[in-house]
This record gives sequence, C-alpha cells and structure tokens, in this order.
Amino acid sequence: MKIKRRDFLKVSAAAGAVATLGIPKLNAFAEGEMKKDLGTAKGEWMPTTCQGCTTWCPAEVFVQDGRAVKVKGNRHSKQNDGFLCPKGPISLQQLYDPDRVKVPMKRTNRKKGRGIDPKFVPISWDEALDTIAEKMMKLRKAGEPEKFMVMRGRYTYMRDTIYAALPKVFGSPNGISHSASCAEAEKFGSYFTHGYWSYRDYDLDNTKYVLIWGADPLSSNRMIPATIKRFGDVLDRATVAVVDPKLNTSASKAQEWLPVIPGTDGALASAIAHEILVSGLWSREFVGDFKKGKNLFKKGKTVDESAFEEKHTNGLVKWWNIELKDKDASWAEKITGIDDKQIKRIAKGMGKAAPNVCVWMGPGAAMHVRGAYSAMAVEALAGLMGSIDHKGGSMGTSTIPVNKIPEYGKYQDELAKKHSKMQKIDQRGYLELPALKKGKSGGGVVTNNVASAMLAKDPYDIKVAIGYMNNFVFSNTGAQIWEKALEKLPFFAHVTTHASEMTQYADIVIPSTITMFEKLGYVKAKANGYATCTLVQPVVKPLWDVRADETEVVWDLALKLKEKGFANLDDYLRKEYKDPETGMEPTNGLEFAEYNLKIQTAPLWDGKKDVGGDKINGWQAFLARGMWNSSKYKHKARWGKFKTKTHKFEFYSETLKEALEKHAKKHHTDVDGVMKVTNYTARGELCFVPHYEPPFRHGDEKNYPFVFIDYKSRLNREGRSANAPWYQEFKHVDIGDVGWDDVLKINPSDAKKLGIKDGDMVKLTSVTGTYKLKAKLWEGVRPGCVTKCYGQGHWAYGNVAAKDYKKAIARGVNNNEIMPFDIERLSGSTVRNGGFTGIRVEKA
Amino acid sequence: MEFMILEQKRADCYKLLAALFYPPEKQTLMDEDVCGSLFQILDDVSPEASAYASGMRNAIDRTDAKELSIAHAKLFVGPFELQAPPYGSVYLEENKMLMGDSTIDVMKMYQRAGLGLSEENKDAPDHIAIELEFMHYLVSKEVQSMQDGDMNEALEYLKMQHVFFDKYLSPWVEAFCSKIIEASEVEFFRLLATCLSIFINRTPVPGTIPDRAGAST
Repeated sequence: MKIKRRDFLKVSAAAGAVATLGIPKLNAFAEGEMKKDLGTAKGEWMPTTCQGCTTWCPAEVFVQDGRAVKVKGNRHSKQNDGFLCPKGPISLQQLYDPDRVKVPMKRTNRKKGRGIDPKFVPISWDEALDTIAEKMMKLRKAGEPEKFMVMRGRYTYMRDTIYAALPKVFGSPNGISHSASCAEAEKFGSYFTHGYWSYRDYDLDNTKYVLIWGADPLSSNRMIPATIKRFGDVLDRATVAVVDPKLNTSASKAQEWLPVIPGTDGALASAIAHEILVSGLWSREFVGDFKKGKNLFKKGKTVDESAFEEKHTNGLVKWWNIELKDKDASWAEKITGIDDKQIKRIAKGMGKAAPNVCVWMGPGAAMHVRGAYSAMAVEALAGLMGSIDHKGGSMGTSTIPVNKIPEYGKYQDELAKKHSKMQKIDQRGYLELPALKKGKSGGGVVTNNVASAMLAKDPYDIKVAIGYMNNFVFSNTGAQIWEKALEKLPFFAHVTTHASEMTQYADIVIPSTITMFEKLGYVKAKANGYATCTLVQPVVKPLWDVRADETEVVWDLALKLKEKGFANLDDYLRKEYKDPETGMEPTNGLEFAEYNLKIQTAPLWDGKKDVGGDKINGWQAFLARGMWNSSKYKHKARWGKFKTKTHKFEFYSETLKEALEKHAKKHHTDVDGVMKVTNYTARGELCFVPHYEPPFRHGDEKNYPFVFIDYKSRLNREGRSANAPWYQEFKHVDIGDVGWDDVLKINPSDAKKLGIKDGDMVKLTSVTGTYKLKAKLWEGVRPGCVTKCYGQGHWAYGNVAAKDYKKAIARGVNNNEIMPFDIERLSGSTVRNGGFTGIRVEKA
Repeated sequence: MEFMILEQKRADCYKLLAALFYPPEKQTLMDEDVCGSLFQILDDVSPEASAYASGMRNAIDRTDAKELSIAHAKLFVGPFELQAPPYGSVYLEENKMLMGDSTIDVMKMYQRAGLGLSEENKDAPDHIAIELEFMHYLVSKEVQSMQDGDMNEALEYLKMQHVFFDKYLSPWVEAFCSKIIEASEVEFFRLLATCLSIFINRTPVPGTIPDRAGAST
C-alpha cells in the first residue's frame, strides 16, 4: 500500500469557505474500474491441486466474484474420484488468512532468537532481491559459493530451477530437501527388498486383507480420499488389521488392532513371517516351494538352502536361517506386547487371503533410530504373500512421461563447476551417515543433520541461505538445534506464505503465492492404481504483493545477479525456457513460469507421441482440464525385473549388501564397522536381511518410564493449517483430541497410578526439557506410552496458531521439541517413531 | 457553521485519516503537516477528536521514522500475528478471515458508487484505509452534488454513506481501535486509534441535508 500522490494528503476545505470541488482525490480507488457483474455473475469451478498432504489430489476450486469459496476433487481424477478429504476446505483459511506475509520485509534488529523482536519493516521487491543478490555475490567474489544454500520444504515439480539450477549454476552443491523429515526410512524398506525407492500404491478395490502398519490412511499419509471412499466396502469384503501403539482412525474401524510396544515392529514382523512360513501359507506363485513339496520350516530348525526353489524371490531360506527360525509368536509376545494368538491369527488370515493382501507400511514402522530393518521386515511380508504388484496387493506406479528441466551445465563457469561438486552441508555419505538412497553412499538427503553440521561448520560454514515453503525450526525433531543454527547463520532469506518459527530468524522475508490458489506448477501423484500429473493453477488473483517462490522469485533473483555482474543464471532461464509452441523467450517471471510448465508437461498435451492414459488435445485443453490420468497400473508389471541386484524380491538383500560394502570400503572399514557407528546391533549376515533390532531410546527407563508417540492430524495440511480457525475448532476429529487445545493423552490406568485426573496440568519431561500440558485420559493409548498429535506448539506464527507471539508463548507444545534429534542413518531419515523418546510424567 | 463547509471538512477528515493508516513516511507526513490539517478540520467537525490529532502532530515529531515503520508493520502488516488486523471482515465474519461475504458486500457498495479498486491496489477491499477513502469519496460527491444543485444526487450519496457507515464501517472500528490502543508501544498509533474511534463515534452521518444547504454557493 502506498500513497501515490501528495494531493491525497491535502485538505480541500478552506477555512470558513466552501472550495469548489473537482473529482474527489482518490488513492486506492479508480472510478469505473469495478467489474459490472459483481454479485450476479455465475461462479466457476476451476481446476488445481490440493497440496494439503502428499496425496496431491487433483482438485477444483469454486470461484465467484474473484473469490475462492469452496473446493472439491477434480471431476476427471481417477485417483480420488472427484473427492477431497477434510484437509481440502481448510486451505481456504490459509488463502484468506489476515496473518499472511503481504510484502517483502527486512529485519532491523540484528539480534536473533526466540522471543526477540526481529523488528521487521516493509521494503520494496527491488531492495529485497538486491540485498539477497548482494550477499550471494560476496560469496562468489570470495571464491566460496558453496556457502550458499537453498532449503526446500514442500514443492511443486517446478522446484528444480530454485532447488537445483540456482545453487548449481551459482556454484553451490547445497540444494537441501526436506524429504528425510518424512519418509526415507520407509522407502529404504521397499528399495532394499524390491528395488522401489518410493511410496507404494494399494489396490483396495480387490483386496481381501489389509495390514496397515504405522499409518492411518483414513487421516493422513497418502491416498486419503480414495481410502475414505473405499474403506466401508473393504471392511465388508476383507479383514483390516492395524498395527499402531495408539488407536488411530483406521484402527477404530478395523477388525484387528495390534497396539505394539513402540519400536518392536521388527519383532512383530519377524514373528508374523515365522508363523506364515511354519504354516505353509506363503505364495507358491511368487516365492516358490520346497523341491519335494514338504514344508521344512519348523521352529528352531535350520533349513538347507538347496531344498527350496525360489521363483521371483531371493534368499528366503537364508532369511529363515539367519533371522526367523526361532522367532515365533510366543517369542514376539514378550517383546511386542501383542498376544501370540493374535499374531498367529494375523499370519493365518493374511496367508489365507494371499495374494490379495495389502501390506500398507507407514512411517510408524520405519522412522526409528534402528528402523531401516523393521521397514524391510514389514515390506518382506508383502513378498511372502506374493502381493507385490498383485491384484488386491500393493503396487508401483505407472510412468508419468514429463520432461526434465533443461540442462544447465553449460551455464556453470569454472568456479561453479568445481564448487557445486563439493560435499553437501548435510554430511551425507560420511561414515556414520550412509544415507543409502537407491543404494548409493550419500545418495540421499539427511535433512535434520543440516543444523548440526552448520553449527559444527563441518564440512564448512554456511553464510547465506534461502528457505522456501518450509519451517525447519518447527518441523524437525530436536527443533532447538535448528534455533541455534539459524541464530548463528549470518544471512537468511525466507520465502513463505506465512511467517513461522523459521521466519523469526530471517533477515529478508519474501511473500510467496500460495499453492493451490495462486501459483502455476504441477505435481506427479499416484493413488488407486493411477498415476496423475495434476496442475497447480492461479485460480484467483492474489491479495498483496506476492510472487511465486519456485518461478518468479528465481527469475527476479537471476536478474539481480546479472545486474551485479553474474549473468549465467539469467542467460540460462532466458535461453533455455523458450515457449515450446512459439519459440519466444520469456521476458518476465510469469512467462518463465508458463513456458517452464509447458516444457516439462509437453508430452502430455502436445500430441507428438502417444503416451497412454488420457488424450489431451493441446495446452489450453490441459489447463482447462487441469490434469492427466495414466492408464491403470498393470499388475505384475515388475515381476521378473525388480530393480534389485538379483532382479528379484530380496529377502536376503544382495542390493543392501553391495551398498553397505561399498560404503564401508569408501571409509576403509567393513560392514560391521558401519553398523557400529550407525547405532545398529546387527553384525555379519544379519545386516543383509530384514530383522528385529531392539529399540534405541533417549532417556533410560528408570528416569523416563513412559515412551512418547507422535502422530499426524487429519487436518494438518503438512503443518500449514494451525493458524486456520477450522483446524482448531475441529481438532476433536483427531480421535482423543479436543478443540482449541493440545492434550497429552495417557492411559487411565497409568493416570490413576500417578494421581492424574482428566484435565489436570502435567509436567512432561524428556531429555530435551520439561513441558507443561493438559492431560487427557484416553484408553486409546497403550499403557506405558503417552501420545500427542503433531501440529500445535507454534510460538512464532499467526494470531490463531501462536498463543502470544510477542511473548513467544505457544498454543501447546511442539512434539519436535519434546522429541530429541536423531537420525536413522542408513537412510538419512529423521527419527520420529519407534519409542526413541523416554518420558517422565508428573502432576504439575 | 454552514452545512456544506462542515461536510467538506468531514470528507477531508476521512481522507486524512485514511492516509494515516498507510505505511508511514514520516518526512512526507511532516512536510504536509497532515496531523496539523487534521487537527484544524476536526476542531469543527469533531472537537473531542481534535485534541488527539494535535497529540499525533507532536508524537510523530518525537518518534523515529524507523520506529514508526516497525510499529505500523506490527499492527497492520505483519509478518507475524497482526496486532490490529485492519480488515473489516476479521471483525464482521465468524471465522475472522478475509474475503468474507461482508467483503463482497463492501465491494458491491463500491460498485454502486461507480468505483473500483485501482490496479495498483493489492490489499483486501475492506482495509480500513480503503473504507475511509470510500467515505471520503461519498461525502465529497455529496458536496459536489450540492454545489451542482443536484439535491437528489446529494441525498443519494448521503444514503449510501448511511448504509456503508452503519453496516460496514462503524460496527468494527471500535474493536479495531481498541486493539491498536492495547497493543501498540508507539504513542502516535494509540492517539490515531483514539482519534479515529472518537471521530467515528461522535460524527454520525447527517440524517438529511438541511433546506437551502446547496443554495449558498
């Protein structure tokens, strides 16, 4: 907002006389510019994408008078059948939140910290970008461009110019993704058994048994609307069993609930596998059989490997001999707290339903300190069932034939070429951080290690950083470490829709358009057997002076770098992002966004090649429809060609063996040496099979007798909805929770022993500190555990999410402060589950 | 004082008050003596409010430009929770969000008066500065119509003021001003809030236009 002319500040009335008035002086208004049909024009459903979780549902927004008023699923979508989950409508309150970042701002108080007023003032876009470019250029002039870092949180697939091209052309290796905060340990499980580094899809329409493990697909973690729509039918047709130490929404409806002791998932999985094998219920079609037809799997008995002939799998008998032979249901009962009869019942139920079994593995099974092997153990059950890629089982995904961003290598100068190949700041690939994404040492990001590495200045110090669509100070466990790291970071620019804990440490704040409503981009998604490419579109004109983070901001920054003598990025964007239809070079950020999107998605609409799936006739048709559906996923598509070393489903993972051995060799040690520094107990051959690892716990049982369970809200929109009144009002839809509060749930039997009544304030102590919360007595959490939904606890946010920003008083407590920093090191995953946080509870 | 002169001053009050809710440019405000002008015209239009305008004139002089900008941002811009959200819908809508039905109603009022928001304006249509400017426009048009001798048109503008003032402006101004008074550490904004609150409370839209009001020009 600006006063355009000084005459707006002058009075027209002269003392005691009437001045002759001309046209009244106007500033915000212009005569005759209003749309004439306001209030009478029909609204319109406009296609875009909901990014409230990683289901990434194709969506539509009803726009009336330029205002977004309601949302639904995209009518063409085969992944969500035209529906959204409750997260969808909350997006409207993100869009129209009065606390949004409205204009570029700069910090005027150099001191940084929690509760310290940054004293932000509005500045022009020019000043904001100039400041960032200036700081960046200083690094290049000093010959240290690697000290620049881009941190990305959520993204669209327009991400690669800001995340990859910007740092690499500038000369830094440091594009740092959030990915390891969410999922890497889970992907580890599927990769090192069947060569699939991604989330799985599930054929609920044809399943006879669903084993949901450490997930709650009715609430969060993937294909939510598709699951909500089908769950009733699934319960009629199939058995649903849910493994989760606290009752979740899916468990509340399921036939079986297995409230496993946190962190013992590997033992439960091993026991189920043992019982399946001794009962002879594995899939003959997928796994094979004993040559003589007689089942030799007997408890405690080693089996001769040559007696079994495998088909699509590798190393079943090795797995049995190394891990499974002694681990029956009664063994597991003592470790997991799950009754041996129930374990046997699950094994038999699955076996009878095989191969139409969905083994739905979620983060609760994987994101443990030692979770890589429990993720493998759970995923191995799908191998035994022969349900990988089988009708009624779990699936991979169809290909989405889009183009990569144009090659940027030739725009790198010598400095950039050399420095962009340096070790990344997250220390991936260090001996104690194998981060074996797709089998490569240091192949994956170790997001949560960045703060520690920055503080240690190892491999070097970061001097200039940009973050977008992220709030790492809130969303990483051991969040306090991030506070310290950002306090010490010399320059930080935060590109964001809402100011958050991370913005508290920003030197420059850049206001971003909001995804789903104001941005142009696309995402690749899958659910229900279909892969989809779905567009994010600007369905309303943005309020305020905001620009798109992944496109316009990069364009504008490139221009500023050019002004300061570094034209390479600007050259790259202008020359390589020509409109594929007209050949025109982009001349501004909006054109760059459009041509970029056209380049990447062209195979889906340009008609040059039949790519399968929906036939879309041209760019305008693609925009109008908003999405592309693939053909239905073909069952057994990967049988015989799994991307493992043996091309088989590996119960004995030759792929992992090779990866670990290479990593060990790189550091002149052996695999056992790697296991030691990565906090695993396995040695020898056990390192290469799915197995049980005892849970690692911060805080001993004597002083911290409870364990903490973190889980996700069905309203969370990836942590971006806490400032929406609907989020707070409807919080009770997270079972056990209450509206406008953040309660610690404790089993009534435990509460009684401690003299705690419902609604009492309690002191909760972990190794990170002591926190005060209201207790909620709830039978849904197993005794010995306490649980709290993630999402509350903002101390620097908007008026709803933070109780008192000025005094840095949070509404509730951030789970990521209660939980200490730790990493599942083989995958690089942040640790959130597996009972790694010991807790003491006392009446306050 | 003659009705038309008072009305012209009332129009100016709205304009200057609108200007004072924009991001403050201290030197410009001082060069133009905006608070001084406001003090003078309020003296006739709303004497109880004028003392506060006089206070503002001194306060702005005493306050560092950066402090003014920081305080203004905390109150009305952010980036964290707004101390005093300057949008009507935050007070008039159940969910305290922007672009509510009341915002659309406000936009319809602008349309009815033949106005649209300029292309450069990127803020929500029910921002306090925009609503005050709209009142400035309506009162000015009323005066202009009287000057043109078109009393029917003048009455039409007066009627629009009644609807807009009673339904969309005055219902939230007091709550808005209370938030400013409660939250701001900078005296200038506390005085501005008090001044606006009194002005809105004590300066109702005239019931009608007196006979012969237009004849003296």
